[in-house]
Amino acid sequence: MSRGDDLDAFVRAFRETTATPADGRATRARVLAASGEQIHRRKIRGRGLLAATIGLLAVTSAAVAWTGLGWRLWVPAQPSDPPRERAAVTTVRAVAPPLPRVEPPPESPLPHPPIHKEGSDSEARAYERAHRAHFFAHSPERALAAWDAYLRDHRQGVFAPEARFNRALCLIRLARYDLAVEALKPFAAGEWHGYRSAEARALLDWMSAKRTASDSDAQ
Amino acid sequence: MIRQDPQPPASPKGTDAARSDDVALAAEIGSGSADAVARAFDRWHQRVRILARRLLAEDAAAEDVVQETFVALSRAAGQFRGDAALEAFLLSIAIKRARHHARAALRRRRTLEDYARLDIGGIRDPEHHTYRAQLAARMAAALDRLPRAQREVFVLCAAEGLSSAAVSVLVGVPESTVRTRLLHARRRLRDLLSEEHDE
Repeated sequence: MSRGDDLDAFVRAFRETTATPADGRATRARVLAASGEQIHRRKIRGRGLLAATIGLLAVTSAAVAWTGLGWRLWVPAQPSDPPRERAAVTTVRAVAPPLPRVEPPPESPLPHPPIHKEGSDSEARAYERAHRAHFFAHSPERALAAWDAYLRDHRQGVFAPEARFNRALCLIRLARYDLAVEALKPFAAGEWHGYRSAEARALLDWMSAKRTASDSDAQ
Repeated sequence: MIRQDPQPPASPKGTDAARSDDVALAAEIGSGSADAVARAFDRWHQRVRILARRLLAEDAAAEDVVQETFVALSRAAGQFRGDAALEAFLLSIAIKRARHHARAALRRRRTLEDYARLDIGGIRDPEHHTYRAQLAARMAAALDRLPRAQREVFVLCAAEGLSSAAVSVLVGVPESTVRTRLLHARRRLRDLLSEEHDE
């Protein structure tokens, strides 16, 4: 039965061994955190749009009011105006109803958002930049610099665990094993809700075996 | 230990009642309800994880796909029109996300395989020594050698048990293409598994 022509047996075995349920609690928490962040960003964008609309309306009405005021106040002051016209304008000024008071643009009615104004967007951009360098450009040097930049600016960011783990992978690819070991130890110890802990342990074992092999070669 | 899939395979169409539930849930997710995202996660995360595992043969990468899929769902829910089941919509997101991880996962696996060839000993999972686990491992290794498009179709049809019509909706290719890819995948897998045995 172990021959390839009994494909069904292989498929059955594959199905059974890959169907192990997992509670996914850590992933759930991370999904909800990331979704919450998105929702928050969307709300901020919505509020920003509202504030911009209010601001634009205020500026427009102020401009309209100033234009009217200017028409009424500045035109008569033109020195080149012939006396007859000046008199007419004076008459208009006399009969014109009082101008509406121009209110200064209102203070933003919205409280300052609880996170940095650009924090979320800049975090997403920083993550995207690093992700591209790592997974698409396959450049460990650039990816390492980008992950470092992400972690410098967003130490407690939504994607901090991924950034730290991927940074460790870059260090391995660059053969900077001492730093990679330091970076992977917290994952192997189960920090970050056990994220990638098995893989971190396997990589630590691999680096340790590699070091042992190179030591014995040197001897 | 024989394990069964936690849920039956998705039908991309679904009943009218189920579809209106899906539309309501997608609308809630689209309007930014974290509770709705949580409900969708609880309902489908196993399904997405198993599919991702089968496509990538790597638990950690599959977990990343689960996370990315549900985060993407909260962004993409507004595009859901109820033409297909929400589960199918979700699985199609998962397939796309898995494509991003496939190459990196394969590279990592090969590195770890190299490491395994060093045979430095240590504690191994006893289950790895069972016959079924060996078959599954050989199957996963053979799947790694299939082109991505064939692997997707084979996993969805053979491992997930979906019809070629359903797979055609999920992958976005005509049904005849699905059947052709499946045929080629089966043939190639038979060859690979036989070669491996003969070696």
